[in-house]
Amino acid sequence: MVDKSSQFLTFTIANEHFGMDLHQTREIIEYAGITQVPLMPQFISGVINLRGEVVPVIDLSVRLGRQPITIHKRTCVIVIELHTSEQHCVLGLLADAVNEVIDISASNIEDAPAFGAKIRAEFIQGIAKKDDEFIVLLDAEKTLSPRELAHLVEAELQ
Amino acid sequence: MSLDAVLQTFYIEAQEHLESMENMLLKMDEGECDDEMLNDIFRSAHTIKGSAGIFGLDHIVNFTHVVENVLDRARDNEIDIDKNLIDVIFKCRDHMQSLVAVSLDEYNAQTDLQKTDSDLLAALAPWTSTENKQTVAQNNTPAESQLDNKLTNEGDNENLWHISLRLSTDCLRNGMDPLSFIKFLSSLGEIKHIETIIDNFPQVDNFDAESLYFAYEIALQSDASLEEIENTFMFVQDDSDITILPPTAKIDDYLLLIDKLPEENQRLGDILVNCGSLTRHSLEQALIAQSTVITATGEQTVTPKLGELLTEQNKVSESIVSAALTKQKQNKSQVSEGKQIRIDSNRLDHLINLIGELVINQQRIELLSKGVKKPQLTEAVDDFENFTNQIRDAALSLRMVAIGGTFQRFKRLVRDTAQELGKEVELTIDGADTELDRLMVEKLGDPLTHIVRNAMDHGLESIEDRQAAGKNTKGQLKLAAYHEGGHIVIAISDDGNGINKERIREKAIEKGIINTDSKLSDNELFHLIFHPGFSTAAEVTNLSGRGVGMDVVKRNVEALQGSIDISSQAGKGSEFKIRLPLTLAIIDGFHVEAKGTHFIIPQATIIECINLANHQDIKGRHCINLRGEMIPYLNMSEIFKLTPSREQTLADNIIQHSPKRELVIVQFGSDVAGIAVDTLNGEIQTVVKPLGPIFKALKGIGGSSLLGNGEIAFILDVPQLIELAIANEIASKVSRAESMNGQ
Repeated sequence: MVDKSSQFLTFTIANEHFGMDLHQTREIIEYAGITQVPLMPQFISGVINLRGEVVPVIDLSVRLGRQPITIHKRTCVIVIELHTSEQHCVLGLLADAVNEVIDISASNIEDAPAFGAKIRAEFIQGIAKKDDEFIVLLDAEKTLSPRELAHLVEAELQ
Repeated sequence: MSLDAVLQTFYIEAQEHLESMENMLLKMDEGECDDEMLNDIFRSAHTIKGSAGIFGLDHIVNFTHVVENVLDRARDNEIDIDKNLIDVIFKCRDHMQSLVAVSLDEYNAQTDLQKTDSDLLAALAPWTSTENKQTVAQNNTPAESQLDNKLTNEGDNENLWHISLRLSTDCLRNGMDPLSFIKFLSSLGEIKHIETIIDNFPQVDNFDAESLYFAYEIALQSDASLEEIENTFMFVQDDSDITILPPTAKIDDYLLLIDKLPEENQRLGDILVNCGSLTRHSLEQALIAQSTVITATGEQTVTPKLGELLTEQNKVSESIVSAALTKQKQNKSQVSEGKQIRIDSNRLDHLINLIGELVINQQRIELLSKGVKKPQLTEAVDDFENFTNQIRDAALSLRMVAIGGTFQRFKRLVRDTAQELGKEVELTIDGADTELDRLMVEKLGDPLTHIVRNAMDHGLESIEDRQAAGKNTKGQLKLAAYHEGGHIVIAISDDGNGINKERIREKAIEKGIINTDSKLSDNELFHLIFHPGFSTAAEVTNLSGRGVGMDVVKRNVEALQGSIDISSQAGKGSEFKIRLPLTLAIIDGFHVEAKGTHFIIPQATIIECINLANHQDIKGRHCINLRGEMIPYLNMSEIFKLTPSREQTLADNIIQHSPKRELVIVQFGSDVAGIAVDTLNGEIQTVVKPLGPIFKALKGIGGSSLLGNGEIAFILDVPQLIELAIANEIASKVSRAESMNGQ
């Protein structure tokens, strides 16, 4: 668990609030179309051209076991950067809206409930409460582990 | 240049010398032997020893010294060169390689290395001299060693001045005779040695009898003062370059002199000696002093800290090392300075990436300029394109290296393997100057090794079998590299027994890889040897037969976007053809579209494009008759299950209404197939952007690329795509059969 106050970027997908460690986020860009990659499972929306870099974009909603995100005018892409032991990896996440950067102190973060969150417990770093709203703090390294995503793609292709 | 970097240079050069030694030894082993080759081997050994000495790597020096002595004796015709000696020298060379790889401490810790050391020295004993040659520590050329002896004999270097005389060309015209200076010098003391340097001597046509072309390096033993000696040259000192080094001169001064001397190709050893005995003596002392520093710190391995430390502590020694190594590099294998430079490969990759971006940008500008109808702009953009392409080609050529170096290494492998197997094998190399992407050359080593070993182990027959078959007892093995239709082909062929199809078939059935009733073409049958776990060798030998090699070969080659073809004739031999793309970074492609998704088909695979509407499918199958040939084709939108994206639906409707469909005919290896697409957008140069680890399992797409308008296109991997189509077809047949059975 986090032992002092950390900064989180909060965003909304289908009226649910999520947070992600600010250090892992690189930038937020407007959704300007996406190139679908053939034969990919639903959680991979496609790839985008981020200033000359081809970056895969994940539909976080599908990844968390929900309906695919509905694209609308305000849809945006959160670009995150993961530094795993094997490599560093840049990914985009689709979100309905990006809200704010907030400080959440460790004491305000509760463990993920063993059940009822409808999200695999290992994906959740903790749950924070702010203004009567619950924010699900995601563990980006687990949720978006390139290795696991690659396995899922492989499974889909077979 | 830090000491660390110099040490690195030493390692690289030692490696090069060892390689050249190996090449020469191989030639000698084949029966060619002339003095020049022996000289080359000797020079390599000598240089390694010399440089190792500079760094105080005594373990290398001590061992190499003995080897060098034997080589020297061979050079002087004191001993005969026979197969045994070559064998021992081969082993010594290998041992030197191991020695170069370890530090002195590591050497002291590794008893097996020391054991090899003494074993080899014992093996060399029959050839080593009985005379006490050990006293001549650095005998280089006979002349040098004479001088060396002379100096050692005299054993007294006191009051030895060194004078470097570079008189002006006009000296004679001004009425000065250089000889008179030398005569006068001898009145001041005893001239120990004069080296006349005639490098400046011109062609006869340009020769001017009134000009002076000689330069002198003089060692003078004298009690005279500096002033007295200087006065000798009073009349010429204004327009001449005269350096007088007193007996008390510091090493630095000698180093300055070495650097100053214009004779670039002069061997370092010669310079050291010709500069006068003093330099050698003092230089050696300085080196000893330096190596003491190194040994004292106890680590002369390549650690950056030590380098920095030494740089601070011992600036003088460092400059010696640099100067010595620089000179040595200059005379190395007659490659004149400035022809070759070493660059960190990362910097090169960075440059190539940047140029890739430049190419994309250029295409974007070209696209934008099309909207603006201005002739001048179009012209400028055309020029821009022209130059961008030239820059791209030039940059890519930086990454290209000749395959010859890789091939060369196989000579040794073949020799050793042949000995081990008791076979006679002759290796011929063709197309050694064919250039390949550096990355590919690195990654080709392993697959080639496997194929070559397999060819020697399984392909080529034993001497008796060859005799029985009426063949030359010497098995022929050939490594060749050449260009073929935008690809590079590396062919490994032998004149052995060929691949036994029946054996492969039996084995594959036995291993459950194929069914007893499977009907396979020869090519399919041959490709079974790439199946993991497949091995036909009746007995597992040290070399091959464990069945782990060939599937690795296939994987490695595929990782380079290449393919392997096998052809074989019973009793006549087999050939493995590895087909590789020219480069991995930028490809020439053909831009097509299917259901709004952009694809790039590598240009090298394309034969032609035809309009599908003009050709009828043969009996409802995905095959067309193209000039009498049946060509199967696959539908891009089917195979990739493409559905038009939201934005594309409208545009796509129009395409669907028009019956115009295009077919791109591609060839890969011996397979020809068609790819049906919606639109052809023309040729494009594109930078390959890997799709990242997540998409690793995606077959048929080798990477992505950015189009001029910023959109992303996928680069097709044609062989994979064809494989995918075949797999899909089999799957659909099976499911159809199942559903029919179900009814």
